[in-house]
Amino acid sequence: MKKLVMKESEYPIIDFNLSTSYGDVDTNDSGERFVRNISGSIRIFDEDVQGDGVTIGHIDLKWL
Amino acid sequence: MNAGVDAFTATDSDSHEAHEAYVSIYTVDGEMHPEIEERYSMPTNHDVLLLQKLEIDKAYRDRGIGLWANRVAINTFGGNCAFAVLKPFPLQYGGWEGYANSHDPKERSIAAEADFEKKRVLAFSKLAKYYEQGGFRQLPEVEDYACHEMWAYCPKFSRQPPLAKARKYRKKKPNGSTVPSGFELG
Repeated sequence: MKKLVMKESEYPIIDFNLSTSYGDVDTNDSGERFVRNISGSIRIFDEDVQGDGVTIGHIDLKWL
Repeated sequence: MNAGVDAFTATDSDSHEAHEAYVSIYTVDGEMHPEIEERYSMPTNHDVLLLQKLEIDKAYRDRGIGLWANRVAINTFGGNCAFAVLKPFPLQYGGWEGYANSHDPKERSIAAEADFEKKRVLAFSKLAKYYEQGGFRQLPEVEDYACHEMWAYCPKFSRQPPLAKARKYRKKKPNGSTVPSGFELG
């Protein structure tokens, strides 16, 4: 992986939130195979930012 | 994630993106595409992590935060997945194919620029290169499902397979199994 230009202490944190979607899949038989949606806010802290930091990005995932 | 219904149906019912990610790796019967199995010879766990969208504010770009965020996501949720999959697509080009006939004069104007296509190709290429540096490798295209330009990262391997055809890197192991020589278990 490419060497990151940020120092480790500068790495932002990501808050992940998970939700589950079932779509139109029939869930009445032996169960269901579902897709889990995951979203994350990427936050960073620096000397000028107090409290919860500032959100600098967003990431969306699907766990299939 | 398996709880009874086949993944082909489940992903098809969820979204185009989810289905595209699935069929880029597995057939309708749930088998791994031979070309991929050949390149990523490994125990199969069918779960797939789709890295669907990543946005970093302009002021914080070019610092490796995107790759780092993807890596955190893979480490957090993809440890038991066969693959993490994404499509390198610059978000500013969403809907670009329709720009020339768009109702929006601004989009028509962009499409009419002499170097529009050149800029677009460069942007896509640059993003693909970016993910290549993060270990992602382009998957073979699956024509039947219009599945193009999908890239994958295998969390099981600390080193991803080379970009060249995997066959030329394969070698016989003493026990008879074949493992590409560029692979290392993570």
